Amino acid sequence: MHIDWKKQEIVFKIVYFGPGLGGKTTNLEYIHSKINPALRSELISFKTKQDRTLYFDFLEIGLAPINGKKPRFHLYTIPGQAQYGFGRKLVIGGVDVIVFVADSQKARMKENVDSLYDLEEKLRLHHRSLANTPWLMQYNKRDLPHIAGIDALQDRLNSMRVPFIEAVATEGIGVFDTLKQAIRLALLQTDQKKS
Amino acid sequence: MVLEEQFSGGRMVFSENTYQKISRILFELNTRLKSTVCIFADMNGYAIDYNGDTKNMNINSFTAVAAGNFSASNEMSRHISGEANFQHVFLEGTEKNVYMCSVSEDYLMIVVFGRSVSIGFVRLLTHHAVAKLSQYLDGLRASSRQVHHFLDAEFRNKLDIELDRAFRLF
Repeated sequence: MHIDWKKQEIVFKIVYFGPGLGGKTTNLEYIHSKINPALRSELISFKTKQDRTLYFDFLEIGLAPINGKKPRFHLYTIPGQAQYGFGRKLVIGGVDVIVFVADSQKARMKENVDSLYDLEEKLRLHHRSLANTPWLMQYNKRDLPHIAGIDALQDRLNSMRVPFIEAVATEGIGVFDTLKQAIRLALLQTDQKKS
Repeated sequence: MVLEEQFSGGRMVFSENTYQKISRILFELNTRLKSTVCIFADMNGYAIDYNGDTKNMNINSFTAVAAGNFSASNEMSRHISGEANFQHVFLEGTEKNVYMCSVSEDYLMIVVFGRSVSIGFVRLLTHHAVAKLSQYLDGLRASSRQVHHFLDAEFRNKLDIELDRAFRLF
């Protein structure tokens, strides 16, 4: 989080992490398409010819001042594919909240688990861990056949029992709820630091 | 206290005085170079301060991308030499050029300039500006944690309302 007292701005960095093709970019695309254009930047994407995220996607949301302070949110996605690991390391620096976008399909469980380990590793490079970084889980693609049950996903992916949200990002289901929950976590973390 | 941010090495607190010094350095650099804009940012892509013409650009998006580019260049360096030692990156365009260099590891100076300015001149003056900035920044590491009294329950509730309003609009 950055607090710029000169500009009276509070900037939060929210990173969508998860396996390739899990729906991270779809989350940002939906937010971009549905939010008032006056409140957001253009969605910046670095994509390969195959439409896969190369470095990261970036979207900024700025809200009206609250008690004189302007909240701004920098939303990033990471490249999910294994070969773009440096991009994940870059984006995770200075993160305030992580949204782990898991693919609910049974066949993608291993990719989810691998990505979670990768997240731990990338956080470690910044002297952090999942235990001391606010994060939440989004179980995406709940509309597809052959998906794992929530209990099974929780057992395999969410042993820390962080908040989770079910989503169908292509239809926008759960997308804003996820973002709101992420923002709440960022603020709560700040509040806890005060005490 | 003007700006604070968290780094792996601790929390950095920018005093009013430091902020003014940074602003002055950016102003001097931009004026002497006759550049389009000079941006002082952190390596995470946050624009801390800038001086110049930003009419045709979204400064925050541009800085996020620039930081990504600088980081990618250093990853290239790691591949060819085993360590991240690209201190400068120069991008040449047809109308505008971009010169970037690191400042005290955690920060980045970004200069956007036109064809009438030579890269050698940009490098020279930016080097002087970065040396000044580094001097100020090295003494700023602070372990004390600042208290954000305004981020309380009332703020969170109002933020919830604002978010609902923003998401309902379209």
